[in-house]
Amino acid sequence: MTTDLATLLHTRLDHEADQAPPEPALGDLIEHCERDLTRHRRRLIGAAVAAAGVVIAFGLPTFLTGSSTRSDDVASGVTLVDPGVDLDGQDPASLIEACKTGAQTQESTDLVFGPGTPRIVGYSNTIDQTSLVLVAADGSAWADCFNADKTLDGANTVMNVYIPRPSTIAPFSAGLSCPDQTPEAACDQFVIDKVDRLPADIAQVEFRTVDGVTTTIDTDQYGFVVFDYQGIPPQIYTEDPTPPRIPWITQTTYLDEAGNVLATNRWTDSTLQPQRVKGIPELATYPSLSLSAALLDTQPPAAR
Amino acid sequence: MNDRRSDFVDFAASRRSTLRRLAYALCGDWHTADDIVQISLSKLYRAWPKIHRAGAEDSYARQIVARTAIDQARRPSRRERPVAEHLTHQPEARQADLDGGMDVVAALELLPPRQRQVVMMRHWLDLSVEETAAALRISEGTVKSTTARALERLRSLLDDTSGERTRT
Repeated sequence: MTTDLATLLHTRLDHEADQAPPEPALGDLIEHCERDLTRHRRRLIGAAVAAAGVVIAFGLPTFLTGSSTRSDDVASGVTLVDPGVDLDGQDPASLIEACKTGAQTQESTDLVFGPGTPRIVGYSNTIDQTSLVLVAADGSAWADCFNADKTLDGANTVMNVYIPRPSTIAPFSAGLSCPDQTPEAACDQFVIDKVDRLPADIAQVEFRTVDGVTTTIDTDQYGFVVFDYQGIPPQIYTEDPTPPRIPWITQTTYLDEAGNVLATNRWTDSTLQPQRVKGIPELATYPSLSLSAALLDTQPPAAR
Repeated sequence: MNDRRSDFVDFAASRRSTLRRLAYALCGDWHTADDIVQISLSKLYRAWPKIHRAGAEDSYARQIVARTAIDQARRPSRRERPVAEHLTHQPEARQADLDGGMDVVAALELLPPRQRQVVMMRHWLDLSVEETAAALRISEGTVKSTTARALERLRSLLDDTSGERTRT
């Protein structure tokens, strides 16, 4: 590059900058950052509560009582999303279609879409990912459909499908998250995505995460619990391209209706525990968890 | 004032003009640049303790600005901006002020976005090849080749316009 052109670029662009509108006041910028941080922290807690709350309060009970949407409802214009589930103005049919064409196996797709068009019973939109909770039209399966790019287009969407029966393990994933696709070494968040179905004895679950935060989530009347969490891990920054192995959930405490501790698991890593609830019988012995058909039962949940 | 806020305020005070220029280089509009800087500083503030400890503030801030600029450009409100209007409005106005030849800023705006961004980052903001590559997440080789093509195009634009004016 000639010196003349270099000088010309500098001079003219500096002049452009001089002619630019005044910069926002520093105080306003900082205040905005503070407010954003506060909102962000609230959202971290709220995301976990909302994810469980939406599914529990609006989704599953409606579906469980037999008012689920059938495939022919699509043509007749019946809603594809449960009341109270706010999709941020997005079209539910498009979201469902994105999940159908996601990167999961065909078997998983068939489990959720085979019985007819599933219904959206939960929605979570965090800085890390967009997630939908879908329930199959006949209640035989439900799925966590998520997209880490937050686009929810078919190419980058994946469904985890859960069939409610005793052999169902507790799906649990955790790790560093990279908002805006920052390099792994610069990740400033960790995420936990956990769904589970627990025995009737358990009314609440306390998750203590590696950042020292304890989040309490009520199980719904059918035993479902959804824990969707994001946090800032302490002392985790590293130039090492290999993510460190960290006990994302450091402790899980199961409580009954009265708040008594039924069991506590202290996890030292993120591996699955074969017996999730120590001190109480194995899950297979609980009739409430034995059959997926129980989910279609219109009887009161006391039967579980 | 706590340490987090205090350190961040110092950083924001000393870097915001530079980040604003970077945002402008990426989007070509000062108002959008201000939005990008605000969003970027908010993101930076969330992760500030860790980033600050690691001493990676500047590189991380540039990456955030670059990513935010891309996100902003993808928004429908940005995409709907008429291209013809964008290309003809300011360059023509700037040309009218010239004594001879096309104004270099007007010429810059006629470059493809990536070429314009690389040239401005390298030769206005004085970022190194490595820093430019990291911010835009492209290889250093791509930075070099894009810069070379952009400068060639710039010279061509400036020479062509100068020649036309001479002939008239």
